[in-house]
Amino acid sequence: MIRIKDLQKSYGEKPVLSHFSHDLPDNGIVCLTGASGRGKTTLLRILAGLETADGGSVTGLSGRKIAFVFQEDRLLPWITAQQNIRLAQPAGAKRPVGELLALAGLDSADGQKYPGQLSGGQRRRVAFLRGIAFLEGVENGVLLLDEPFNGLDAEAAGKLCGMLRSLAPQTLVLLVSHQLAPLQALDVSFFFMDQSF
Amino acid sequence: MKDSITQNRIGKKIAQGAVVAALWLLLWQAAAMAVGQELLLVSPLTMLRRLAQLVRQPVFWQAVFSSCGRIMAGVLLALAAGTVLAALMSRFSFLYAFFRPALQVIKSTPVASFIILALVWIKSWALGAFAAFLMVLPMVWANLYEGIAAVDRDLLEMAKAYRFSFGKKMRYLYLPSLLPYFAAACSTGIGIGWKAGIAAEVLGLPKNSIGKALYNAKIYLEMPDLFCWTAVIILLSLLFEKLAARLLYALTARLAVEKEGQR
Repeated sequence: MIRIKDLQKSYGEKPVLSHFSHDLPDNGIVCLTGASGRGKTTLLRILAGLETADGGSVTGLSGRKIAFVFQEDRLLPWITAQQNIRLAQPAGAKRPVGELLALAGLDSADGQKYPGQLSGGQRRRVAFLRGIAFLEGVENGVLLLDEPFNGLDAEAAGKLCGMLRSLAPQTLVLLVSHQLAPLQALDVSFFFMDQSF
Repeated sequence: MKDSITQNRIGKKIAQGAVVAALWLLLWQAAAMAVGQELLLVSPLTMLRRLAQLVRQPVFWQAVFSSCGRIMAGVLLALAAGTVLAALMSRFSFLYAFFRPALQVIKSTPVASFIILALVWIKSWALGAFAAFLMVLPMVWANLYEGIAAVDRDLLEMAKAYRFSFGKKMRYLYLPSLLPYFAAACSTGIGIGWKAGIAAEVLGLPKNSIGKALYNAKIYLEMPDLFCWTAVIILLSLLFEKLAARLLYALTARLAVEKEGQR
């Protein structure tokens, strides 16, 4: 179990998390939801090790590999979609990138394109696949997703959900999303972050 | 179809360049004829005739190769040192505070002051390299320091989240981000390096050098020689600038840094 206890974080004078506590399961899908400015993204960033909390503790994450799908795609513009995904794969990874692309509804021609040549929805899917690729062969990984369905149509969002479903037994999928409709077909625990300041 | 359009464009560009060059040569010829004294303004024809004589002399090529070697060695050293300095100064704030004033001083000091000072310490043959190095270094540093600061923070954070190794970060993030800054530094640096290097040679008068040939042309009032050597310097500077641009273009293509990908 991942235990978040008394987590505090402020940006300057502005508090974002104030004594936030919550327990997360070791696997399965958890969706953090709530109004903007409640610290959802900040919580993901602290769990990913990209921010340091001002106080409190997080236990149960040590030794677990964490992939982060950012709210922005953050793809390297000078290499192809396929290379972006391959770059995140662990050394010795066996799963062909083409197989991953197909799961997300992209073909090998899309894989050969540079991020600038892809549509917003296609870029989003490539960023998602990069996160999946990073956790290849990992038992007990953590996949953090910040607004993964932004810019996706219902079909593409459905494909992503299918991938999340197959990951869930061995991975904790923690996502922040304002779009809840695509998650209806999944077994998801929702947590409403309602701290207000 | 695309190839023929590209060829047409290249052909048009070459034709335009030839017309512009011919117009300037005509203007120069007309000015020389108006002045009417070769001692004051050499005509392009006289210069070309003298150049044809000079290139047949071994001493011409000795001077060209020696000056090229020295000046380009200084420029290359400055490119390497400037890159390392920019990287270190971006990483360590103390090094930034320590080196920045020195680089600012070098940038603002007239090259002649350095050359005269260096004459006491450095052998004349090394003066061209030294002057080129000193003038190019702060420019390379400033360009690359700015480039490092401009590397996309979001991408850096992504590299951290996906645990990119140092090598991976260099190859896929820093190198493609810094190449345009490095290319700009090369292009400007080579021009500045040649100017500073030749100025140093004129003052230091090393054996077998373009600077010494220029000096001799001045004291013996050999105006055609002065024009010839000036033309040679301009051509050499342009040649190395183009060569560097080609090399960087090849490197860029190798790294798959294509403009299409950045759209």
